[in-house]
Amino acid sequence: MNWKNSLRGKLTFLVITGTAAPLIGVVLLLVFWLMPTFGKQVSSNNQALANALATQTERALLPSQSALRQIAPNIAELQKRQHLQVALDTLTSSSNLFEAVYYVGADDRIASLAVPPNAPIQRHDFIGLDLSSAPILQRARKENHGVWSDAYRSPISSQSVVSTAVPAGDGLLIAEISLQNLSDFVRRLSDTSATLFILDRRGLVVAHPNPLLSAQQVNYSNLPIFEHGDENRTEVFELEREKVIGTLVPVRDLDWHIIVTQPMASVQHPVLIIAITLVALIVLGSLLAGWLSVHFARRLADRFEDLATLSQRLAAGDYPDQWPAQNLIEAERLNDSLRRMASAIRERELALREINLHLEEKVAERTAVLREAEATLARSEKLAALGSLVAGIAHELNTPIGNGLMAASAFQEHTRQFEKAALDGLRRSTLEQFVESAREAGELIVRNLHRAGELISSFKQVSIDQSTSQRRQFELNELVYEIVTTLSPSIRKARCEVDIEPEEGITMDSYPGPLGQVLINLISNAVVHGYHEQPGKVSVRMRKLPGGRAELSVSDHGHGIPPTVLGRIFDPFFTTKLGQGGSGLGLSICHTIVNNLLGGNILVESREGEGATFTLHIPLIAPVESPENNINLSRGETS
Amino acid sequence: MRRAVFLVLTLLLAACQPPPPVKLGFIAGVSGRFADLGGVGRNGAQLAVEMRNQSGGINGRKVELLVRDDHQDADTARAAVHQLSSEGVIAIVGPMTSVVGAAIAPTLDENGLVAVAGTVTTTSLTAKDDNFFRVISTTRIYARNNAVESLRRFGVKRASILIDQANADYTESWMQDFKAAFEEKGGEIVSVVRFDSRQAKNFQQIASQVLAARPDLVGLASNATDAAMLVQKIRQLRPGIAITGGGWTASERLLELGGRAVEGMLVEQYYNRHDQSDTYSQFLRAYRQRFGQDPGYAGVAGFDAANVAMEAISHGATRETFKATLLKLRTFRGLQDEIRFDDFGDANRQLYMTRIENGRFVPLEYQ
Repeated sequence: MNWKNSLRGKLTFLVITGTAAPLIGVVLLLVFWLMPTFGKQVSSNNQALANALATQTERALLPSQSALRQIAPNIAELQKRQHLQVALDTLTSSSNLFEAVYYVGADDRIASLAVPPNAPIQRHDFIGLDLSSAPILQRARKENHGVWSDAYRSPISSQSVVSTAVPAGDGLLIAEISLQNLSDFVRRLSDTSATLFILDRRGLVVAHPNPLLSAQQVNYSNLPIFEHGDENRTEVFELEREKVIGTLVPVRDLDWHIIVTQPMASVQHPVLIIAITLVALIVLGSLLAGWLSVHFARRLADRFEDLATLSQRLAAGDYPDQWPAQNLIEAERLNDSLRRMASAIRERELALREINLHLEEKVAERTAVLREAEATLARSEKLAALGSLVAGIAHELNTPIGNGLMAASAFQEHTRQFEKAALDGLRRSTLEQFVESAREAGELIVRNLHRAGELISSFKQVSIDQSTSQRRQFELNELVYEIVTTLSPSIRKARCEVDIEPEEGITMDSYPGPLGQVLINLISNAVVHGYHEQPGKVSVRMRKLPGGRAELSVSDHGHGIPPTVLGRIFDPFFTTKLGQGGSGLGLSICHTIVNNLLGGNILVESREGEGATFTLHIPLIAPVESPENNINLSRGETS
Repeated sequence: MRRAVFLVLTLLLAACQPPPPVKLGFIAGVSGRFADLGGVGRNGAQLAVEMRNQSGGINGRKVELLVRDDHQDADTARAAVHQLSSEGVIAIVGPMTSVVGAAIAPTLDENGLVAVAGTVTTTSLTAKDDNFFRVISTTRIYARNNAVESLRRFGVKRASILIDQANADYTESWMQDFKAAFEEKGGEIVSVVRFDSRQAKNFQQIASQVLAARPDLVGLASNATDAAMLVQKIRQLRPGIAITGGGWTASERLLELGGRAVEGMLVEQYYNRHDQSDTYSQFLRAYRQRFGQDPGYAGVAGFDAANVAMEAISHGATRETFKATLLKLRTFRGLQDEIRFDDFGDANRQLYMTRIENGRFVPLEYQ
């Protein structure tokens, strides 16, 4: 069975497409709604964290610059009163922010330096230190206002620091602030999911929850997130061999940046769980639906199969008594329709059978009527043949009887003359003359009467044959001669002649009457249809065939039979001379006689314009007559 | 909306995995006092790797640089080698200091790992058939030439040498070679002062100690930060005294922290700071853009070392065949000139002597 066109295939296909659609929908929903929503949420979370850290960073660093600014205006005064060192020491010890605070004079050398009380530093080592080439100093001198340095390693404290420089008189007040505090903030704000870190202007990691990384001065300036400017933005990129989603937030005053990252895995994880759950549910659902549909389709297909078998049984005429029960409305309806159809068929079948029965009777009736008509026609045909025979025979008899009469009347005249002469005296010569004429007359009369008798006896035979259809032994050539003789007046009238090629010794035990009728029909047909009453020659040939059969043929060289007609000439009532005296039964009767009664067959060969030959092959001994074989003739005889 | 779509696509793409990267180890003191050597060397190597990856990596595979901090400590460094070895690196780039180089050489042999070192110049590793390769010459070239040049330029005979014990493998080697050459040319080493930068220092005291033998020249081998402080102190005590620095001092930090005190000081350079070639200019531009500062000798050496390692890998070197591949290829294109290894994995590179003028290193041959 073609799976694609089967009910099961179709249903399964429908179920699969039906469940694939929501699956695709869910995937699209996840991709275009859930994931972006999630991404946005992560982004805004990151942003909030980053902003918090930026604020913290500013809060941690900016006050130190403010502190320097408070001292800066009074620097000359403080120096003059030798109070600068005290002021710096106070500042350093008041807060744990500072690693070092120092004043650089106009000569760029450290004039005063304060460090936390317990710092392992020889302060005098650094007094007088020339910082003219230090980047922070150069920038502060150039810009002449408070500046922030990049992160660097302090030569004083040997710590990672960021320093701020504020112009103070001719010199600069510089504070180094440990990045340790920032690292602490970052560590506190970072949790398991989010990592925060601070980058300086160059992209150097200033603070990182992992203290190793901040110590290693890793440079992240090449992170892709920097490529698109420094406004607040969230992107996915790779960081330390891990895909992360990161948010970049600037710390404006310092020209630093905060980056907050979350591992992609932690973002993808919930979405993935939702996706897997949904997809699993849908797949499970579709599997169940698929299984149910296959199961249902199989049951439905079985039901259909049953109904198909049922209808086949109906087609075969087997009407079940028990119809299968259906638990589906549609199937029940189909069942019902089938049941109704079956009973309708059954009713119609009965009606047809009745009509059939009646029809046979009617056909028999009609056939009987037709048969009768046919028999009547055949009989009249026979009578017509008989009529033409009688006319012919009468004509034939006319000659001998006329001759006999003429001879008798001539002898009468001679007798009267002899009587007269005898009265005058009978002379020898007169007597002799009278005797001579009497003998001649007698001879003539006898011969002609003889001839008439012959004719009558032959006429008798023909008429007996024609009217009785009796079976007897006869010589074929004699029958042919007799028939031709009886037909000769009409043949001569038509200016035709019959050429017989006789063969002696064809003795037959058959029905000479019907055979003669056939011959009469064939010869008259040759004269009437072959030559249209024009002069012509009709040949009648006979031949003995091996196997106890004889061949008899009648041929003419007339117009022939058109091929369109040739196949139908033996059909009853077929005639080309309708309304001109043709009954259309002649050849049909011939055919019936030859085939049924004589047990032979009749063939026709003809070419238009070249004449026609009818050939009979008949057994020398006709088959024993059976009633059906001879319907025409027996009826003809009995009526 | 576009951002959302981008986010979605990247979220989806995150699931796809590229082919496994080629792992390359890196060891140096990337934090702390020597970070201007180790950290900058790391930057150089990092840049080499990033540039390589940008142009398609090695045979389509990205290169991953696994950075380990040796904290200038022998044990930490050895542990780092073991760790990198177990993480499946093909080779190690670094270390950047001789003390670590000397410490890890046996560990490398033990693990069958090759290290292509950056700025390790100690002669203690010279002519040894080990797994230790380096892209620059040794103190035998640098310190000797420095001694000869100092004699010639300053015309002084009495020299004190001040060296940092924290990287003794280098500094002692440097001191020996400097001393030998200086004395060969008729000079006299009047004192050798050692200090340890890892401990609390009194620069004033160290400076006094150096000057106690009344030298006319101070030869200095220390990291740049300490060198800057020491030079300032020495010149505070003896303004104008001739000073020459070993290659270790020759970083940008010396200029930044040395102020006017370092003017006129001679400094060894392991590379040509005034190279005008396109290759170098390009590198300089890339480095500045990436790290916001100048590379210095450590950056150049890190860059060269990483490139040598990656070049060998691109020629099919595996961890097992790494040494054989290096020795077979023998010659590599360095940033400035050819790096040619001898049978023991030492390269012979040129020395570029400079003098500090107006806060810049100026090549001697141009003066």
